Amino acid sequence: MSKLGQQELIRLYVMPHTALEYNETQWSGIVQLLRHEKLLARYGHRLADHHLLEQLPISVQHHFNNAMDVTTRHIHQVHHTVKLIHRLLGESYPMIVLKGAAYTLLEDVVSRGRIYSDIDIWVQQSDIAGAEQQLKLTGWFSDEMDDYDERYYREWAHEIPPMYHGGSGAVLDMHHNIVPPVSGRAVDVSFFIQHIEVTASGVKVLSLPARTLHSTIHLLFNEECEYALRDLIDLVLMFEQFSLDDWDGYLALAEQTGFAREGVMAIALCQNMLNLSVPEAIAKQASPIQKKVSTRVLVTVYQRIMASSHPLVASRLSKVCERFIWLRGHYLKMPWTLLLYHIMMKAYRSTAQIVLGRHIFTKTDPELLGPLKTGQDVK
Amino acid sequence: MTATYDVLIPPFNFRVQTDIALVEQNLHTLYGQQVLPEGSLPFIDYHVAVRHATGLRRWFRPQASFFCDQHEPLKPLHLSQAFAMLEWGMNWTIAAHEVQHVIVHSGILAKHNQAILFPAPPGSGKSTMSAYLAFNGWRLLSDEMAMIDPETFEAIPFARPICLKNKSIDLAQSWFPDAPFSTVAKDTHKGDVIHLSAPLNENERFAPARIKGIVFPKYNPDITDIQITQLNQSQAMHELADNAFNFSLMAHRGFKALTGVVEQADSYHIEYRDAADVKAFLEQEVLEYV
Repeated sequence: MSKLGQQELIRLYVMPHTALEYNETQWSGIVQLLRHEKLLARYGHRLADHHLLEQLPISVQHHFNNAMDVTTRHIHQVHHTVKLIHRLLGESYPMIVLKGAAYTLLEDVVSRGRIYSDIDIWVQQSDIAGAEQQLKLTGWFSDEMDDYDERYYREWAHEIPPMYHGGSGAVLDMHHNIVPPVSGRAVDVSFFIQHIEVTASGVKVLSLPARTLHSTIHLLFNEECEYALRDLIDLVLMFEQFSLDDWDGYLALAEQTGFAREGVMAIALCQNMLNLSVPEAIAKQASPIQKKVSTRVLVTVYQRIMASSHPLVASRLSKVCERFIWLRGHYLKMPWTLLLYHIMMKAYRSTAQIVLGRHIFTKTDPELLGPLKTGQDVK
Repeated sequence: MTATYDVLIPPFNFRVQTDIALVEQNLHTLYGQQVLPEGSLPFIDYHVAVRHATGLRRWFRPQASFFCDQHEPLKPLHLSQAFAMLEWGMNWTIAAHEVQHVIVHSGILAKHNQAILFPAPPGSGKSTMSAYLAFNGWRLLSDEMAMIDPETFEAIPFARPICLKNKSIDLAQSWFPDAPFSTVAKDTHKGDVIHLSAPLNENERFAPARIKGIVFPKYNPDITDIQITQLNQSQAMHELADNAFNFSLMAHRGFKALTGVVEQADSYHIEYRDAADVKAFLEQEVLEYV
């Protein structure tokens, strides 16, 4: 193996047996990349499932085990925290648990080895203030934030600033929409709300097709693509569970909510990169949009940026692609006047950071050993 | 000029990168033969770096930034504190990733492979005690982070330089004038600090040690005689858990490990003026003769 890259990580996922080809030095790089992509625990489970983990050098196993232990612990924390929030908000502020926390509550395979940075919930927009207040009474608080960021969240985004729990260090993101409401494409949430299931503990989550589409939108309708390979692997793990009805439901919901293109792009990416097989009828249905030149360009761009941000593997082309996705993400989310304003603000702020140092806008002063106790900052 | 080294600090292999001459110089002083050319070690556990901060801070009141791979977990510090920052950053790196061992914020030293834990808040004289023992026949396993195997309850050595603060800097320099000291990092959040390498015994570098005692030391210049109070197991457990970094992450494994340690060790609260008294007490009353 010459230079490590995206291809090696993807090959290792699709063909786990290639794990046995690498020596310790090559593993150094792979562990470093996987940790950077937040995939160390995910791959650890995959290798363990194929009885390959125990065949790797002890030093390598050690890091997979660390990462898997941390995610196992996160799973306990998520169950515990959601239970508390659910009890707290109760009937007054009905909530739906989204994304990673939902996978965990459902004990879906996607939750195995997935790293969480926060717990996402949805409540109705009219309930946001009440729910926020209720949480604040029981030890949840928001970080101090500069005025621009505060306004960005509250007015233009689809969530309120993240809340932290003083005791456990858990982070909660409360949303009132799936995508930012200013984008003109704001989803009629009611489409999603029709696709609900209830977990064993009585908490509402989206159904399999709906949460797959939500995850798709998160990956392909966003200006950030930092952990794109992690998100794509989440998607393939969900697609692999689809019945024919789920496939139909997924495509229909994508169509209804205006994300038909993103819906089929996700399928194409999983087919091209992670060997997903798709029922023939569905492939046929997706093919007209997949064949469009604009879709094909986008798919190529996304393929390029998967797991390619680390300096070990980054290329000029992958950086250009990331920049493109950043612009497109903003363009899709905001009317162009607002976008222009936002870009100017961002440019001003990053210039200030270049000149005055990157921490000029950092408000809090983390204690040197502060993050240690909670283990929240594990990367 | 950026320099990159592989640094062997059992049980981990670090790759350390820096473009700050002060850091490179201190690295060689304190880690000596453990500093190897890049690529010497087959497997690298953690990639860390300390670099000049970017922007104006490169030149105006210059700062240093610590990186764990691409991640910058700590706020930059003044350039003169860059080496101390590397040490603290490495502590952060281990505490944030390692969950195979319970990590207690504590000094730990051993004699005849019997270890004593010194968990204590800053200002208690814990590091001074570590330095005194480490240069008087004891083996330093760690000054800040005691790593405990959750199955065997043994302490695993993770020997790093001892971090001395303020007044104890002069004291240690007068005790061990020829020892490898780092340059002084002034006005950090802990005051002035200096790092000191303890003598390393090649044969015992990887050897675990059974934990025989837990001592909560408190330096008190106003007393004449050493004052020793034995603690019961629940008091010791409580204090130990308070000092464990990854206690909640380790969950029941962590609880089991700390209970195991407390059950096999005697625990004391010791108020002292002279470190030699503590050493005498430990060697005569706590350690078993071999």
